[in-house]
Amino acid sequence: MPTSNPSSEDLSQKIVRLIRTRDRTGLVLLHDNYSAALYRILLERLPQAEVAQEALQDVLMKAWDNMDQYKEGKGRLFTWLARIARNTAIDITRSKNFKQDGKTQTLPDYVYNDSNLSEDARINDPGLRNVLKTLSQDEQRIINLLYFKGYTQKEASEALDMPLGTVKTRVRKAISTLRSVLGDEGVIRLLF
Amino acid sequence: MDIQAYISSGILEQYLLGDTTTAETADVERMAEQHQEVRAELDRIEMALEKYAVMYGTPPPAGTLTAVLDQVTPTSSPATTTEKPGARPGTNPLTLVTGLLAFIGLAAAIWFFLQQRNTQNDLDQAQANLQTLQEDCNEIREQNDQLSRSLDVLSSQNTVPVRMEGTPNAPDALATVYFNPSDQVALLSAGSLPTPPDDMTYQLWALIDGNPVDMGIFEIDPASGDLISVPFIEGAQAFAVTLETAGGNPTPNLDQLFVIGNVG
Repeated sequence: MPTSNPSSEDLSQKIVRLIRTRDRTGLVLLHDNYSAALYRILLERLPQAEVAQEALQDVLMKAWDNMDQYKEGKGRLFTWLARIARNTAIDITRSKNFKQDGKTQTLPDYVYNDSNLSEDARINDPGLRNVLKTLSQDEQRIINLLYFKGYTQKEASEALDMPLGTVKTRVRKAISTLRSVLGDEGVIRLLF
Repeated sequence: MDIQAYISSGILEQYLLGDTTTAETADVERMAEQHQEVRAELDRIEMALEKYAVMYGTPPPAGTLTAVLDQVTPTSSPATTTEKPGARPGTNPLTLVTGLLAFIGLAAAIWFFLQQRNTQNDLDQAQANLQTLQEDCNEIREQNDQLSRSLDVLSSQNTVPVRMEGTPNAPDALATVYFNPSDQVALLSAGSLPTPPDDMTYQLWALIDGNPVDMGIFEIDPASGDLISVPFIEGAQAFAVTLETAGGNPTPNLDQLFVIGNVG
């Protein structure tokens, strides 16, 4: 887990530099550190694993081909990669060959058989459990819906049967909690 | 515009979650460029979301990276993957390939080492065999020379065989001195003498006017072709073999006379 690495900023810079100089090591580093997160984002929107894997390869290729378009001053590398992943997923869902079995059909399943509840039990890392404890179940659901599954806040409010204003407040509070817990000091405190 | 109000409106979170309209996106990016506080706040939210995403990531199926790497043109060796932080051993195909190559290299090195050692062993053995063969060859050449000389003596018309018959001490014994006065050489064939006790030895004598002259001790060695070079004694009239104490004696022990024969 690279999360506890306080030099993650240096890692991003290194990845960017290597890929811009066409060094495949950069691609390997990118994959090893971010593929799981990107794959989760894609998998939540493209439930078929083969489709999500193809999409991930597409994202990695786009990162390799377009690294010059990434502007360091405008945001973090992963934010840029996550945006590419979201747009790639959107492009695939909009293509005519894609069966729209993601968002609309799994919506009720997702809400009522929330997989994130069982996911808690799978996490062995005590640091991660502490992170989870700091978020309410509603906050976790909202973050997962918005971040991984790509719901809009409006869709999330409908899915969770929650007023839009409440969703907005909860998102902000959840992210604020994550910031305090997952900030460098916070992570180090949790993990060590 | 109130920057703090903008920051706390939730639009930044929405922007980072990809849930803003094109106009809102442009607005956030413009605000981030103009206001350091907005940029810093975005950074903090980004960091939090990134860590959350990395923590809750789902490892992709194996082979994803390999498929991508196969499509991109390498410009430098990917063998430097060991430097990446947070790499999980065994999950990276390149690490596997590197490890495999290292293993093959090591195996090859060991194989070549063993081969080389085997070769060295074979060479050592061949050299030892060669030395043995050379020694055998020298020995055989020596024997051959000796036999040739013996044959020369035996086949010479001037050589006189002197038969020595067994005495009552050894009635069945027989020995012969081949005596060649013209070349002044003499050979002894003593093959049928009985094997002497360990502390005794046979000694050959020449008799001149009844006086014994020492011609040396000898051993019965069937491997030497049964012919032993012995000193040539001018004017010898008879030859005799006695059994003496080890090392020989200046005068013969006539009680232990085994064979005797007259010249001519």
